[in-house]
Amino acid sequence: MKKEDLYKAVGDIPDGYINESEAFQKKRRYRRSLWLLPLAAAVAILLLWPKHTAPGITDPVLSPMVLAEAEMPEPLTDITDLERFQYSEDFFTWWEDFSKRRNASLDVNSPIGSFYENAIPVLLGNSTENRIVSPINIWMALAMLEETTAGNTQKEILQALGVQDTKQLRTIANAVWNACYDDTPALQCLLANSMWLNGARSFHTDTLKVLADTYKASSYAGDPSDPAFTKMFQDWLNKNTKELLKDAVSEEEFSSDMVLTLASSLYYKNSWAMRFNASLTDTQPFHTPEGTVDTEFLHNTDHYDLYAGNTWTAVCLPLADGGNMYIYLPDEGHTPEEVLRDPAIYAPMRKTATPANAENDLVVLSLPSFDISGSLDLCEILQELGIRSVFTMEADFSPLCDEKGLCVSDAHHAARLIVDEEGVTGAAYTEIAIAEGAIEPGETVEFTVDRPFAFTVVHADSSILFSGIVTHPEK
Amino acid sequence: MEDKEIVDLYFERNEEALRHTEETYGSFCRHLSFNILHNRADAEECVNDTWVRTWNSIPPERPYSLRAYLAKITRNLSFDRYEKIHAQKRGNGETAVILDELAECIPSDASVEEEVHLHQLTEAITRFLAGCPEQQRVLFVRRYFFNESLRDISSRTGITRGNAKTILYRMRTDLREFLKQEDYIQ
Repeated sequence: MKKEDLYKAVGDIPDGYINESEAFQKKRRYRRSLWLLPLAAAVAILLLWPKHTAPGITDPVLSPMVLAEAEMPEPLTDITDLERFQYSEDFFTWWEDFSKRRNASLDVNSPIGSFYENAIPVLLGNSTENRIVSPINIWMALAMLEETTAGNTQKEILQALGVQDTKQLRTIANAVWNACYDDTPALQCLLANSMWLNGARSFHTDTLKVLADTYKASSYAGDPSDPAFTKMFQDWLNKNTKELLKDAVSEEEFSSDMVLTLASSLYYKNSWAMRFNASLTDTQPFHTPEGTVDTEFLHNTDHYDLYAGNTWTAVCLPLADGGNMYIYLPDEGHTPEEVLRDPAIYAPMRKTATPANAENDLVVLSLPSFDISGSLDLCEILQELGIRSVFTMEADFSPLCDEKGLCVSDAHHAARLIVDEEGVTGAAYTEIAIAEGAIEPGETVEFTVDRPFAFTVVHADSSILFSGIVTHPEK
Repeated sequence: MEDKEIVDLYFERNEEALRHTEETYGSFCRHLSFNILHNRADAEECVNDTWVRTWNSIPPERPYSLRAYLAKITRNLSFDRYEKIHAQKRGNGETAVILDELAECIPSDASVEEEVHLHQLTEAITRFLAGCPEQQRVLFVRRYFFNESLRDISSRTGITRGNAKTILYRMRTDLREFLKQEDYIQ
C-alpha cells in the first residue's frame, strides 16, 4: 500500500462525515448590506421639516447634528491576517464578488477616460515639485456637484466629467462606487461621501435623497460659523482618510455664508503582488532637476510588464487585487508632464496595449520608495476644464434650493501616497463648498520632494485612484 | 436554491443547473482544489472540470448531498492533477506534508506493490472514523479530506494548533493499529 492509496481512500468517505465537518464552519457570509434604504429614508424624513427649522424643533439647526450616516458594507471576513485570508474560503467568496463588481464597472465606466486624459495634466500642472491627485476622487465630488445644478451649469460639469446626461452619470458613479469599495486584509479601498448643510437653510429633498442614494453620502447639519460644526467636518475627513492628511484637514473650515459643502474621500491600502525584498533596500543616487541626491531604493527582479511610448518607458507593478501601479520614466530630454499629456499612456491601463517585453523576461526593477502629499485649490483648475458658470452669479443651483445668487466658493483637494516594500497606501479628499457671493482666493500648494517620474495607481476596474509626478527624493 | 432543486435541473438537462452550482458551490470547490494544488489557475481548471464531470454523471446519479458529491469530484480531479504536477516536480504546499503524515499509518516495510482495493480501504477508514468522537472525526476530515492547514483547522474548530496536531498524531497511530487489525497492513 502507498500513502497515495490511503489519501485516495479517504476521498470516498461517507457524505455524512464531510457534511459533519462542514457544519463546524463559522457562519460567515459576505454581505454588501443594502443600507441605502434607511439612509435615504432618514434624509427624506429629516428634510421634510418646515422651512428654516429642523424636525421636531421650531428653531433653525444651530447645534451640529448628524442627519443620517451611511452604513458601509460589512467587512467580508473576520480574518485580519493577509496570508491567512489569501488561503481561506473567504478569499474565493470575495474574489468572485469583487470580479463581478469590477466587470459591472468596466462595462459602463469608459466615459470617465476622457476626464482622466483632460484633467490629469491640468490637475498636476507644471512645477519642479512633487504633485499628486486622486482623479477618481475629484470625479466623484464633481458628480455630486452636478446633481445640485441645472441648465448650462450642469451641462458644463457633465461635459468635463465625460458623460452625456445625469442618468449615465448616476449609472457610472454607482458602478464605480460598488467596484471600488472593499475592506479586506488584501485590499482596503474605502470611499465615503458626505454633505454638510447649513442648518438655517432649506433644501429640495429630492436632490438630497439622490445624493444619499446614488453617492452614499452621509448628511450633517449645523451652523457654519460654529467651530463645533467645523470640528465635526474635520473629524469626518480624518476618520475617512485614516488621518493620513491631518495637516491639510486642520486647515479646513466652513465660511459663514456656506450653504452646502460636498465632501468625498478615499483611503487605499494594497500590497504588491510581487513583493520587494526588504533586505535588498539600499541608498542610491538620483538625478533631480537641481542635482544628484541620495535616496532609498526598493529592488526586485521579476516578470514585470514593460510598455514603451514615443517619449517614455513604463513598468507595470501588479497589486494584490488585480489593480496596478504604472511608473512612467520619460526618455532623455522629455519631462513627466509631457508623458502625462500623451494619450498613449492610458492604453496599458485599459488593457489595449501589448507589453514591449517577452512574458518570460525578468525585469530588474529599482524604484525609490516615496511618501508624497499635496493639496490644491481646484477653483482655477476646474475653470480650465470648462466648469465655469458654477463659480459665477449665473450658476444654476435650482435642484438644490430656491435661493438665488449661490455659487461654488471653495473647491479643495488633498492627496497623499506612500510607496514602500509592502505596497501602496494612500488617501485623498475633495471638498466643494457652495455659498453666497464670490470666489475666495486660492491657497498655496505645498508638496514634498522626490525624483522626476510620473505615476498612476489604477484600480482593477480601471479607475485611476492616484496620479502624480515625483521630482525629488523625500528622505 | 436547495440541492434537490439543482439536481432536478440536471435531470431536466437544464444548463441553469451549472449556473446555480457555480453560484452555490463555486468558492467552496475552488478553495478545496486550491488546498491541494496551491495554484489558483490549476484550481480554476479543476473546478471547471468538476462542472463537466457533474453534468455528465447526473443523471444517472442522484446525489443526496450535492456539496459532498462535488467535494469528492473536485478532490479526485485535483489530486490527479497534483500527482501529474508532482511527477514534473512542480508540486508544493500542504499536500506533500499531508501525504507524508498519512505515510505514518503505513509501516515502512509494507510492500508498495501490494494491490489495494480502494473501496475496501475506504470502508475500513469509515469504520475507524465511526468509532471516533465527533470532534476527532472532524479534525481528520478537515485535514485529510479537505487538505486544510492546521491554522485553518484551528480557526474552524476553536482547537489550538498544538492540540490539533497532537490529536491528529494520535489518530494516525490509532489508524495504523486499526488497519493492522483489519489485515490491511502487517
